[in-house]
Amino acid sequence: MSDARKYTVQLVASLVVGLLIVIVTISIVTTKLGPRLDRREELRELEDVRDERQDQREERREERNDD
Amino acid sequence: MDDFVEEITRGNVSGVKIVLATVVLALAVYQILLMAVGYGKLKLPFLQARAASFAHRSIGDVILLLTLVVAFMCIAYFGYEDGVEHAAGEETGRAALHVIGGTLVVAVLAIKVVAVRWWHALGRFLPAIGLTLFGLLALTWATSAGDYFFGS
Repeated sequence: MSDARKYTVQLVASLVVGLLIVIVTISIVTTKLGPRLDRREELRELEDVRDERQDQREERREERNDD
Repeated sequence: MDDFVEEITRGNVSGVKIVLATVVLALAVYQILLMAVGYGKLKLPFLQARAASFAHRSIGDVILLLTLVVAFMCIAYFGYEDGVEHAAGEETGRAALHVIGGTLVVAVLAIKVVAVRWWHALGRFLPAIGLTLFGLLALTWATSAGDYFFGS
């Protein structure tokens, strides 16, 4: 095999190994994380609950100050 | 900006960050192997130094892009101070270390790009800069994704 051809084959093979590393890593990590589809609605609900609690806390604080 | 990040990750900001950061770390380990071949420290019969060096450069570009995406998501969504403030109790130290490590990663990455592309006099420091960058990437990963996998 000529040097230029050998170089091309080695370079492509190195990049393919890099791609395989990416694919395997994504597979392992996503398996570990588990199925998480669309969490936007869940996050919005959590934010609403948090805001509600914050309002309640402030109301209580104001009531205490009034007393 | 945080709405945009939440939208593109469909609410899984931490999950997407963990996946991308782990891919970056895995590729960084491969980069060390490639550069060991590139500098002739490791001799492999099936891989020559020139091919290994060029592959290192190409994969480095991918790492740069992924790191900037993760950094953008992290700063846009969690912010600097918020990230540390929201970390509860004992977690504050870990979050602070993550912020410092992440900031240094971006700084060292910028120095490495400048050294490789324009400031060739810095070329002799590239192995040291590269190893420092790997150490910082490992630290930043360990204090976020690593903590998620192996932490209490």
